[in-house]
Amino acid sequence: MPKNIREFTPEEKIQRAYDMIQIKNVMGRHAYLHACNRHDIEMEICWAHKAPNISWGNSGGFQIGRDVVWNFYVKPHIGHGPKPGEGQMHTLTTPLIEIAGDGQTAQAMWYTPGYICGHGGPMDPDDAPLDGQWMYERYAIDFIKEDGEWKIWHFFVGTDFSFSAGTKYEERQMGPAPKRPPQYGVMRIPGLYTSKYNWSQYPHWPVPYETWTPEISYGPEPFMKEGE
Amino acid sequence: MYKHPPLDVMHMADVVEDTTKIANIMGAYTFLTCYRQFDRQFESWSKNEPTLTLNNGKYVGYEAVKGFFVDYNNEQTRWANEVMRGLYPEELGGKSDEEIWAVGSNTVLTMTSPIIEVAFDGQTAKGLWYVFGETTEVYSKGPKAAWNFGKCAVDFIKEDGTWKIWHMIMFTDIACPLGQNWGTAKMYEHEGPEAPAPTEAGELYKSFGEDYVFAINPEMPEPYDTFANTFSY
Repeated sequence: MPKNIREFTPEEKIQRAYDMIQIKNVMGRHAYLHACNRHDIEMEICWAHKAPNISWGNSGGFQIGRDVVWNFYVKPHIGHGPKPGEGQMHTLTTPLIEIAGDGQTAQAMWYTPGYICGHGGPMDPDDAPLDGQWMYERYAIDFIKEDGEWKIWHFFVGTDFSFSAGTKYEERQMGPAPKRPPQYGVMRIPGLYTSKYNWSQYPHWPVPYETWTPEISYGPEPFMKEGE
Repeated sequence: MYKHPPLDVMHMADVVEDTTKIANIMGAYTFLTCYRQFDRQFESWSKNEPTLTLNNGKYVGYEAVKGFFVDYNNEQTRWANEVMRGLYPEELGGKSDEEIWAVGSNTVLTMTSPIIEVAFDGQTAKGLWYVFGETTEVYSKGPKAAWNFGKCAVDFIKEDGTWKIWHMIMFTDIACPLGQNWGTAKMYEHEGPEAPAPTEAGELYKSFGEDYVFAINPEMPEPYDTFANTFSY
C-alpha cells in the first residue's frame, strides 16, 4: 500500500483533524437514517452526487451507480417507514479513518454491533411473533469530498453474523453465506463471507495513502476486469 | 439546511478541540455511571435551567434534575448496598456505604454512533449518541444483567470556558434481560425507592413493542449558527 510520504503543515493538520469530525458526522447521520429506513434522505444528504460509480456492496455483490443503488437501497422503503414493531440499529464503533494525503478522499472502517427487531424476517407474516436479532457487521467506506463536504462514495457491508437473540451462536450451522435472490444491477462476488466464524480477509483495513486508486477501492473496481 | 460560512483554520481548530472535549464529557458520563458517582457526574451539568427527559417524563430545572439524577440514584444505591449486605453478610456485612459503593451493579451505557455539531458562535453544541448498554443492577434477590439500548441527545453550553450538559434526552428503545429475546421477554420490575415524579409526566417515548415505531426521534444535530436558531433537546 502507498504511504503518505510528506509532512503536513500545521494548517493541513488542523484541516485533516476537522475532516475526521465531519466524516464521523456523515456516518452518524447514516446510522440514524438507516435505522428508520429513511434512505431517501440519506442518499440526498450523505451520499455523493457527482462521483462516478457510487456503490453499495455486501457479500452478494455490488449495486453500482446512483440509479441502481436508489432502486435497491431507497425505492423499497419509499412511502412508508418501519412498520409498528419494527426497528433496527447498526451502531458505529471502532472507527479507523485514513484521509488521503491529497485530502480529496478517505477510507474508513467501523465495526457495527447491531440489532434488528420486528415480526420475524421479511418472508414471515405480519402477525408473526415479535423477534429480536443480533447483527454484527463491518463497514468499509470510501468517502469523497464534493464541494467541500464529505460524502459516501462506496459503502461495503460485511455481515459477520446474525442470529436470534437468546439463542446460541455456536449452534448455527457452519457454511457459506445464504444465497440471495437475483437483484438488478448486482455484480456478484460469491464466496467472500461465511455465515459462521467468518474468516474473510475482505475488506482490507485502511492504511495511509496519498491518492485514491481503483485497486484500493471499497467499491466494485478491484473485482472488475480491464475495460469494464 | 443551514451551512456554515467557510471556517478559517483557527475556527476549525476550535471545533476540533470543542468536539473532543464534548466527547470526553460523555465518556466521563459513562464511566461515572459505572461507578455510580452521581455527585461527581452532576458537576458536568449546567445550573442554568437544565432538563432531563426520559420515556416517562421530563425533569425541568436544577432542583428537579438533581432530585432525580443525584438524590434518587444515590438513594437507590444505598438501597442496593443494604440488599447486598443482607445477601452476602460474610463479604459485605458491617461495611459502610462508602466502602461498598456500587457493589453488585455495573451500568455500562456505551456511547456509540456520535453526531456532534458545535454552533458557529462556539457557545453551544448538540450531540446525539446511540447507547448500546449492558447494565447490571441490584434487585432484592441479587444482581441481574440486562441489555439497555436507546438514544442519548444532549445540548451543551459553554460556561466560563467549560462545556456543560444543559439538556439531556435519554430514550430507551430496548430493555431486556440478558440472554433473552427482546421480542418477547419482559424487563425486570423495578425494585427499591420510587423515582421522583417528573416535572412534566407522560409517555414521551415508547420502548420496543407491538406499537413501537422507530423514527428520527430525537432529531439529529444539524449545523447551526447560534442556539436561538436551532431546536432544543
